[in-house]
Amino acid sequence: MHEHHHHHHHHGDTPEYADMSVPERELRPVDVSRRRFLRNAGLLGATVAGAGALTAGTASAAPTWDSPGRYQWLAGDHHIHTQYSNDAMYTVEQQVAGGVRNGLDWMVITDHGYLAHEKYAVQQTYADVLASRRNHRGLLLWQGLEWNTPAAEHATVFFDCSRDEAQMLQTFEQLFDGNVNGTNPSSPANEAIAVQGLKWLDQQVRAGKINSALFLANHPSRNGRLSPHELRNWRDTAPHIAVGMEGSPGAQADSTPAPLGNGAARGGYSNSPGVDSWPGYPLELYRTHGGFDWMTAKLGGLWDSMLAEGKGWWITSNSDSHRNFGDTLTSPSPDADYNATGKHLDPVDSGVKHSWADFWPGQYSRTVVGSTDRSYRAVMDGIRNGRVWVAMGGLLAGLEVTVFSDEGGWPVTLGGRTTVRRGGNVTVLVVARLATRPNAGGSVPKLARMDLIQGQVTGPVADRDTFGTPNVRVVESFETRRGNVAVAVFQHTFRNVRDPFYVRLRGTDGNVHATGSLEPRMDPAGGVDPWSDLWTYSNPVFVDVVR
Amino acid sequence: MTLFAVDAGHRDRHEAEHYALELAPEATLLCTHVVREPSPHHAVWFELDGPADYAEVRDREGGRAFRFPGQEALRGSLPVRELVALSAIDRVVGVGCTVADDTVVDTRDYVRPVYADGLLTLHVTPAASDSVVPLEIEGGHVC
Repeated sequence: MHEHHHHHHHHGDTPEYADMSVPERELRPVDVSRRRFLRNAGLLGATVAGAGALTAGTASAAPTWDSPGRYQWLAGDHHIHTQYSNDAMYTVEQQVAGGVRNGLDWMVITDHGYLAHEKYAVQQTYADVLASRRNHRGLLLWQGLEWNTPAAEHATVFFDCSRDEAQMLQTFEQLFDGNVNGTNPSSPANEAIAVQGLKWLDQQVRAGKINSALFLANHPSRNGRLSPHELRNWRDTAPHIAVGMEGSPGAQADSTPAPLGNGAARGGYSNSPGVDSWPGYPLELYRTHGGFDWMTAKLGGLWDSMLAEGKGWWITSNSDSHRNFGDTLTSPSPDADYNATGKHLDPVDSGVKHSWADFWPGQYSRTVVGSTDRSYRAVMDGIRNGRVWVAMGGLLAGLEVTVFSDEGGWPVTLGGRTTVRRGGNVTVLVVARLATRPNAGGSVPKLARMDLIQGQVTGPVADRDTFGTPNVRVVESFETRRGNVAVAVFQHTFRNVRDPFYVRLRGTDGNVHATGSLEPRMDPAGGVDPWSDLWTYSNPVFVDVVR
Repeated sequence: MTLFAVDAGHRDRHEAEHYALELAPEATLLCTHVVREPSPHHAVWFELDGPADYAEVRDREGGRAFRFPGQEALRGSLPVRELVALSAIDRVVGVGCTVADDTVVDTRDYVRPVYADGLLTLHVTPAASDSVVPLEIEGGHVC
């Protein structure tokens, strides 16, 4: 049964710092330095070339520099539905064309796990995905799954392309989807099945059946059912697969005021505690804040409490497109029976604009990934390493973050980790490329302010249901100059650094805040123009301290 | 009056409500209550006159009232002061906002308070038009 020619395993005799399947964020600071030394000496490059896609960072030409300029920053969306979802309608090609029209470089099709989907839809989708790949050269298009994670929320799961990708996806859905297997209710037993699912993915990667896999929790707070310990369990079970969550959910058009829109809740977040909800959360969690999920938007909240452990956990931003706002297409009547075919009939033009809740892929929310090249593997590596920033409504055209310490080591960018000697200084350099062209809402968004946020790294939590950390603050707010500047440059130096920390960025058009603060406002019920309150967030950079 | 509980293991809250209404159509206080063991579901409780063949409820905390005295008066928009005066609701608590006695609650004709800190509490969130609305919205999508 030894048919793996690729050496994806973590070899027992290889130290972790030399095993590129161990992501850098899992290493001790001293081992990060060791790895970099080896890499820069060209010693690890040789290993990397044969190490498969578990590799954190791809360059076989030994990188010596991790500044943002090393990467192509590719915009994408990992949460898109088609007619192969029980509750959506577009053809694969319609969604893909929409995303391309809106400037996306990569997309992941994520139809819902469902009995008829698993039985009938996976292979049909694959044929359509292959056709769309042929139609759009240069576009990176995955077929993934919106996994009903047992006991929890929905999650995007996708694999690096390989010969058997659709078959592997179908097998995964059959074995582990909560809808398919009736394991949706929140319970310790079902939580264990979710962890088994991640372990199974990990095994397939290690056995070479799939090149790599990613898991990202979608609309994490929508039903209040995703507990802090579940997030931490996933992260710790498969740190190279379960890497993050949606910072902002899709369905951002749902709050568009009537009569044009639904006048409902931004992100579709209109729930209250339900049967599966985790009882420990405050009720604020059930609404978005400046369009972002509470886990991300709350300063010193759940996301920060995970980062304070010193481990990577990354955020993304997607459309969750099912039906797009203002579109005249609609499901035909009578529709085919989805349960019998796993597919809805192609949509038809009704001639009437509908007040649907979603935006097209790339039309409003974008996940921008620093990739070593335009390839499937490079984008997945970029996400896995947190080299990601997100923005709504085209608020930023580019974001280049460089962090360097006065040790003289190489600079790092988003998702990276640098080291400073105790008492040394660390400088953060931010180059924000401002929007110069109108967004899809018809106006040129203006970045008013960027907040540099610092959080102390305090290590593993004693209580895995922790959802807050006190040591997080905005250390400096940078206001952009008025007028038509194309680039805003900010710099901040942390002097006499004593303890490990991370920094992350948050920007806004400055239109709406919680009363008397810099924080985003809880989105009110009954109508918010989503274009009137735009935010952008970056993933963190970690700073380790050595004596 | 005595509060009685029945647990028929309903996963679906709507079905649990119908079940309770069939058992106790005359009750003026009926609640659903999440029970997490062995698997999450809804029990129901209701207030009846005199003895009945059900277990008595000792702790109301966490119960969600889908029928309560004065509920039918809570239609349209009305200030907090009036809402509390007209119904069994003890207090209105802002989530993401602060409320005062004269804060206007747009009830949307759907009010489902919960027992919190021993008080029948209506949680409200900000709304676009300077009013507040109940946190629980009719037909919120839970899929």
